[in-house]
Amino acid sequence: MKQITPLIKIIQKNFKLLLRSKFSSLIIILGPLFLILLLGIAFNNTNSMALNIGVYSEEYTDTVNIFTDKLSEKQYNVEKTSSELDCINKIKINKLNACVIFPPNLDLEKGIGNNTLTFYVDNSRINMVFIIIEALSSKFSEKSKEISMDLTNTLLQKLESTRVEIFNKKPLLSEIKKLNKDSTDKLEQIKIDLNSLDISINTNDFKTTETSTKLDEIEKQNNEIEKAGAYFVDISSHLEDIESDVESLESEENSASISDIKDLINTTQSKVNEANTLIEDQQTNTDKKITELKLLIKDINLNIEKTKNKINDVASSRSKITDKLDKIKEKINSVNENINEIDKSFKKIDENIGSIQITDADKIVSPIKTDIRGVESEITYLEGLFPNLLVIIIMFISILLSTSLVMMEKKSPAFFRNKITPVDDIIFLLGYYLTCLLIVLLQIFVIVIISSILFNIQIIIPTLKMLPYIILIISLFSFIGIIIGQMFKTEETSAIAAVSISTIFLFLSDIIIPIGMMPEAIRNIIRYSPLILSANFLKIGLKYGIQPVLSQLYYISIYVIILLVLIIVLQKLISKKFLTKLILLQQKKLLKRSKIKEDKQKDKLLFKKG
Amino acid sequence: MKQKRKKRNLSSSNSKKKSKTKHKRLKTKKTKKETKRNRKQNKTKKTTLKKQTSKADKNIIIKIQNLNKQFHNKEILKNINLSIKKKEIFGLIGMSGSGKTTLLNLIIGFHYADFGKIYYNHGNKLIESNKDLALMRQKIGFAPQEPSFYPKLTALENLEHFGSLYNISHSVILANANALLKLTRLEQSKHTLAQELSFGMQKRLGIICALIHKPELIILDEPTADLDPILREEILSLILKIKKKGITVIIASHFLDDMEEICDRVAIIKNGRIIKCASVKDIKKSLPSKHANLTTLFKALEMSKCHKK
Repeated sequence: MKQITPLIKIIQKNFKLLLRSKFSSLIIILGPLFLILLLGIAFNNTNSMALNIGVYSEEYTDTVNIFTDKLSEKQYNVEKTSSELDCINKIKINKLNACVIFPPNLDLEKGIGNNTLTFYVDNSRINMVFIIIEALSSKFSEKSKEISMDLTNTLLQKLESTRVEIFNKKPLLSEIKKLNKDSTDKLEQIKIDLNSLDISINTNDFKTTETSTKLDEIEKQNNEIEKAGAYFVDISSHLEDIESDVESLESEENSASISDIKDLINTTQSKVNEANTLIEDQQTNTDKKITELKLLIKDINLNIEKTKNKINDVASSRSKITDKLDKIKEKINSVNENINEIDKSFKKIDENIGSIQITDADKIVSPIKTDIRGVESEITYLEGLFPNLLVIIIMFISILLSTSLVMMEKKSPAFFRNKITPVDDIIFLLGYYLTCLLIVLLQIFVIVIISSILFNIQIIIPTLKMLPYIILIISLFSFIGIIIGQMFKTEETSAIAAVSISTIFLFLSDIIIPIGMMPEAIRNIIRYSPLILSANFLKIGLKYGIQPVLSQLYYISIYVIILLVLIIVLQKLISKKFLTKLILLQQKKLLKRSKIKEDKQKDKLLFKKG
Repeated sequence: MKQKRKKRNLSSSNSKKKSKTKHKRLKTKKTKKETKRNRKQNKTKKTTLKKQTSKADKNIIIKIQNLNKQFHNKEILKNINLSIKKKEIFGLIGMSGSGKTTLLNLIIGFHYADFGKIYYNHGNKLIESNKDLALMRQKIGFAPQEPSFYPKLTALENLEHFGSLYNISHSVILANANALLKLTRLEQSKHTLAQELSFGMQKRLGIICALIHKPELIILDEPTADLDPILREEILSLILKIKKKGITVIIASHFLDDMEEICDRVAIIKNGRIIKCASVKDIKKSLPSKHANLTTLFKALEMSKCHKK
């Protein structure tokens, strides 16, 4: 209790000193006001990012234009560059955030050529690069989705029409099968008919041999007739002989008789000659006819032979035809089998197409739909950022203010006098801490009020509920600041250390770069960073209460306890060391001064003596 | 001139360095032996101390016994034995670097002695200062040579602040502050920022800041340093006024005329040792001529040591 009055006076004194320093008072009063106004104006919206996107394509086809239009639909500023290199160079000089290079002849409908889009981003802008990639990818995937939707729709339509076609054409198959069966039956009949055809030939039926024998007989008879002719010749010669004999016998007397005889002989001879000529004519005709008949018989035989051959050909052709018919039958059977297979395939296709339950193209293109919804109704960036903003303000102001308070006291001319009072050093440290706490609370109060009035963020009640824990977080960072103040000798070095530590905390937090990007080993350490713990705790705590983040509260409490112990230990250790140094410095100063004075006096004396 | 001095210093420092390294070991051995001796002496003296703290000790406000202090193996104070009486003005005279400020810092408990003890009279009983440092600090005021207050606070605010650190009620602090401001003629400037006060005013403010909690003893380190004669007189008269209020004053200074003017007793300190401690009257009596003063004695003592060297 004895120490409470000094403590209050120390706090009062700290406030007076801070307020009387123009710069400090400016930071304390106007700092948070200015900060929240700036952030409020900057982030109190729900707009997505305005990115400068460069595009390049050898040929700006309709497809390319579709994509560029899609990009410029919202707030992306699309700039067509002259070349790929130009686009890249513009990224290098921060004129563009990203470049999209379209392949030549980009055609999504026909699926011809290379459809790879190349993105160029500035990797050095780690905080932006993934956001840019994400933003661009989402835009392009949106368009790709549209195209694949169309393609899938056509695909589905074709499938459906195929199914219908198969269904419609299925009876045709059975009809073909039926026709095939009829054909095979008919073929069988043809085969039977063919086999039943009598194509055998009996040459005896033509009786050519008999005819030829008959002809031979005729020829023999003709020869006999010829012989008869010869007889007529003999007769004629004989008649001539008779005539000559008659003539020889002729006499006057007889001349009449002889002439009669001669006439008789002549008539007989003429008759014989006539008969002979007749016979000869007959013989020649007969011979002629016999030869003609023979030729005819020969021809007949030849024709018979030909016919025989032809019949043989026919027979072989018939066998061939039957073979072919068999083959045709076999083929028809195999066709039937194939038709059966086709039928089965059709059935399978029908079943397979029928088994596709998802017939909606949208579901095929994106089987899993993502519907990102805010846990709460749509919030502005400022609302989302508010817990992080609060923690950053707490961290920076707590660390810097507590460090500067400690250093201010250390460097104050009154430091020595304070040291020799009965008040313990810890009370002074407590004074710095409480001053810092009050100032940060005041700033939080200002920020909360401004945020709720100007930017309509409902934060007053959650902040009030979280006040004890906010105080704990302020304590954590204030203690860090006090330790920095204790450890460093000059205000400059302590300020640098405070800013450096705050910046390290900031960079190794989830606020600027997601910690998921860091290696696992570092991530495991970093997640225990005071800033990450505090930011998570406050973010969740302000929205849902502290129950889900109790473990983080324990860690923060442990940090606070450790830092408090460290402050006390450091104070005990440093005070002696620092004081001895301070006194030595004072003594050195005094020694110098007295030496200078002595020298002056000696000089004066010497001057007087001289 | 300066260059010559520098050359001399360099040559002497080189030779000194060589000799220092040789004698360092011997010195440390010696100091160890001395500390052992002192411990033995302390044990024997402890038994006699109770007897000694009798009637004579009632008039003593601070008693220093066998005080030793080292900084970085350099002996600053060697076997200091002093008794400062109540309501007297005690002067510590010595050249710069002789160990005056260190001794004062040890008295107020800013430093801890390596060896030896400081006793403080509390209710006519000598209490070891280390055992109840807070109590001792409550009874002592200290005004260092350099201004030691907040320049951004007004004179009154400074007084209020330092008063509050001694756990005094606000009304008492205000009464004390007004009285002290009146005493130092700073009433008109009580609402002026300390940094805006004149040097003399700042000096006075430094002194009254040490008096705000009504200490029994005030220690003034070089109160008249860097002051013009008029301001010096002002401060001296203020010191006398303080004495009149029954407050014991310890002044460390090398302005011997001032010391002679106001001090009841003086101790001459040289190289961390007290070489003379007596009342100003006794010293004057011991001096050979009537015209001789503290300055001549101091010079003589300094010179004698130089001759010995």
